[in-house]
Amino acid sequence: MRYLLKHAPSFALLEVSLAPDEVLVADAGTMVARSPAIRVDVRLNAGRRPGFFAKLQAFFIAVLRKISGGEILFMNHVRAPSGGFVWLAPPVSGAVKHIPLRGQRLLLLPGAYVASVGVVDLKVRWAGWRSIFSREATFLLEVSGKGDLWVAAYGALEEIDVNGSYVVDRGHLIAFDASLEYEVQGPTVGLGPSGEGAAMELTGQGKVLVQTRNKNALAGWIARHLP
Amino acid sequence: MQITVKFRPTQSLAEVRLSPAESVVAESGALVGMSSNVAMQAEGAGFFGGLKRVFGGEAIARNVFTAQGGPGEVLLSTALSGDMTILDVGARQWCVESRAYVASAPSVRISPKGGRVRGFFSGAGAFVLETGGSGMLLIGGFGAIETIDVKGGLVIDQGHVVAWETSLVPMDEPVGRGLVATFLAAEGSTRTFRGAGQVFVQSRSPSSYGAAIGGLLPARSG
Amino acid sequence: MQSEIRQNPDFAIVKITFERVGDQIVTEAGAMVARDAGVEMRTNVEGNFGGVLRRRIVGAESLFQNTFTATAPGQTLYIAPACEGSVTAIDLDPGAEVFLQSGAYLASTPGLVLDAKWHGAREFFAGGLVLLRTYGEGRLWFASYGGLHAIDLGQARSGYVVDNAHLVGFTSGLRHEVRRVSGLKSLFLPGEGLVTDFSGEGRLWLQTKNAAALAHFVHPFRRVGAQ
Repeated sequence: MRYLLKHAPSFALLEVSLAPDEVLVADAGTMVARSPAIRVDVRLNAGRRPGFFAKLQAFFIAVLRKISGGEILFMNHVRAPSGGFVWLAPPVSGAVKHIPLRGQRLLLLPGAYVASVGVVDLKVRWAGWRSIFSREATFLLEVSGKGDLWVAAYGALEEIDVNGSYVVDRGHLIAFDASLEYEVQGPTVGLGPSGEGAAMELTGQGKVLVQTRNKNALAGWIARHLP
Repeated sequence: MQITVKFRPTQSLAEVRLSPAESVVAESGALVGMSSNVAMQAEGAGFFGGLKRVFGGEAIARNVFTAQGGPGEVLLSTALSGDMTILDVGARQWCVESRAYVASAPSVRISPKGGRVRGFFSGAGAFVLETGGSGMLLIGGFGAIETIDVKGGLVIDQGHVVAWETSLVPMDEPVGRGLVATFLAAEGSTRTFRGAGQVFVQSRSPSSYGAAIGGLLPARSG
Repeated sequence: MQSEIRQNPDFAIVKITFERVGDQIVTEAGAMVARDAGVEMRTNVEGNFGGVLRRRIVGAESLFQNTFTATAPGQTLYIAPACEGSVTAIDLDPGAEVFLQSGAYLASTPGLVLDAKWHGAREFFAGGLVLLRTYGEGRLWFASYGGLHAIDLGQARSGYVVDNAHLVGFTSGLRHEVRRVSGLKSLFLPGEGLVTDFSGEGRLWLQTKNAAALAHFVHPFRRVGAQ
């Protein structure tokens, strides 16, 4: 596997070339282009060895996610039996960061996941009942294993080292070390009296990745100029 | 006339420096500011009338900016974030997607390209302009602007095409396999270029962005 | 208090490091990206406004502010605007004043006052632009949609005409007159086609992008629904 980041940091476009035996698992919404010999299978994300109940849970979560206004978690399983490459980028642009996976566990907001290659396990984690009503993520994606992971930010990507307790606006949160404890805070619907939406409190020691822009805040800002 | 593009590649702003009595023609929505001694005039009705007749819809409205009594300055920008680039018109002529047009020297002729063309952006009000004459042409794109030198053929997603040399022949259906470009999208609305020449492409797709944001906005009544 | 503006000019974010207990910063509601859990957040209903105007009338956005107070030295806070682009900081001395487009306001130190009822406000307001007069002693952070382009008037240039949609702010000492210009493409919002003639000595700030143009572009992509 070889990868290249073009037009970083503001319009990052990830170019990945695959060896014949490799599989790239990419969020279906990020595929921009691919070379003709590439094979793409669309799968509902349900972990590496999903049993019936895991699949049912994933389906249930995907439906609820759609109702609550989020994306359905479908993945493209991309293979290149005779070699080839794909180009990936989320439609709302920004930075893409490569994270080498060496056995650590990370929790991602689903919109942040771009792709992974290797022996990588993706599990859907329920983030709590309160979050179902928020416009932002109702669940988290747990990523673990050995291989390569790419995450995307809307805007620039900032890394915060947490040693204690840190509160992050949910719309700006991309990913964090799974060793951190997390708790959903704030209003269940829309904005609270402070003008801030839901937030996540992260406690312990570990890294947090945040994006410097927020799609919902952008929409709110544009909405003020609409007829 | 000198054009400097600042804040590249994302928030680009074109600074046009005019000699005394020199003019630049620009798309009406592109004006950011200008020095007080620059006079602005809407472009003649003939152009408007011509375009409206051919397409029956939205035409590009242009203004002529002229420096008076000394050198002048005009600042221009685009609606979407991205880069701007200057094309030389003369030895080479260009076809430009209407929404990518920002400005040009008065010695560059801009006219609508005849024939029905499928929309590039959201389909509504998008058409192709063709250049004639000589001088500078300023175009803007969504995202970074890349140049592809085509030799033989190119298949490319329509949403990413900004401009191409008139030596290339665009066709709606892909011919054979050709050279699959960077921007062949899953949506399948592609365009094939045959021949040799340059194509300018933008790295982002306005319709994908519009769809991603549009879904988050309050509904409209019509 | 230390502040650092990062990721200019595309997706700027401000990192504030509080040095002493009680250090405070006032921000626009919704600006918070992340903060040490120990930083107190309080919503300012009164605001720091000299005038009665607390709610921006163009659109329904409120000018509510949040005040963040440090409870321990070394605590950090990250703030960012909603729109893509830059953030700039300027320091004001007593007696100095700056006029700022209300949508551009991001944050300020408590010693600054924001006044929406100054004598010239009505002229701009008629065109749909709310300009705040900012004075006092302290630091002001403001955001631009796009890059921030500064133009100095005086020796080199005697006057400038600015499209109001691109006007971020200007210093006192400049003469200004708002007028309508025919020939400018009018978008569907009232107040389009308006420019301001500036002359005298001082600085004006322009933003390279235009919110109304973005709203116009996005409008056809909105869902059609009953109102």
